[in-house]
Amino acid sequence: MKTVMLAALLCIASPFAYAGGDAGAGAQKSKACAACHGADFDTPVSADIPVLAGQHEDYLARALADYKSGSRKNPVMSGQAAALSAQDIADIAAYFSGLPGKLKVIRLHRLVQ
Amino acid sequence: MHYTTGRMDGTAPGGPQTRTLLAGGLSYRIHSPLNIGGYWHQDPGGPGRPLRVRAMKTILGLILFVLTGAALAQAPVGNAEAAKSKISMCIGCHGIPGYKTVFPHVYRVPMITGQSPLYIVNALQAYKSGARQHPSMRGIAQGLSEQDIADLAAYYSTEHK
Repeated sequence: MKTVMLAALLCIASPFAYAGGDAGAGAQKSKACAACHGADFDTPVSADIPVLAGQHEDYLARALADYKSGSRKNPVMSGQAAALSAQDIADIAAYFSGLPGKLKVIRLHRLVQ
Repeated sequence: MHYTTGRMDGTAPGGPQTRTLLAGGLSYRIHSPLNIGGYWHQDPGGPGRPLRVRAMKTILGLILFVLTGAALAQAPVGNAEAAKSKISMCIGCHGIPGYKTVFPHVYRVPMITGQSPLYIVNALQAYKSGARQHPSMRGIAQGLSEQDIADLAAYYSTEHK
């Protein structure tokens, strides 16, 4: 009975739950990304391509979801993201966000005196 | 010649012969060098628009041509120092580690320090034009000049300690 209830609860809750990303799976799914964003994802091959290594996981997932839905447009990224499932996006975002890179935040308190 | 006006007030500066010479001379001098508006093939003496309309169009065309050329030639050069007086609208979100935007979606705002200047310029221009959608960023980007955008791109792409 407990199992059935738990299963039922999961069925109800899962569409609303944040699909946690698996960085290991993301590493496998992001091989194609390296062609433009760089093998370390910190040195893109062209200046118009963003650095991804270390970027916030939820922002990366948002960007990919927006490319997939068409609300954010880029000739290359629209095609790439179209093929990704929600789980793929979560996995890839988890992988990139865990990589070391040059991105950082210039803290507000260092700018305002 | 059928030009009916020789002066802006519509009065003729002389007899019929004077008008003809004036109109013909102006027509040749203005329209021949660039052939803007395709008047080259038109008989300057044929039934056309009044001279002042044609001359005005030609002059406007020339001004547009020159301005477009100047705009294309002058991509603003970014100045990271100058950006320091322009970042107040950026740091309230991008200067707080882990800061989240909440509308229309909730997520941490991206780290932008360390991106390339071209990426930042493209992003701001896309927000400004509406090609990239985010209500807050659109509002902010619409208030930025091309020079502002270049300066901010220089600032955020430079290494900061």
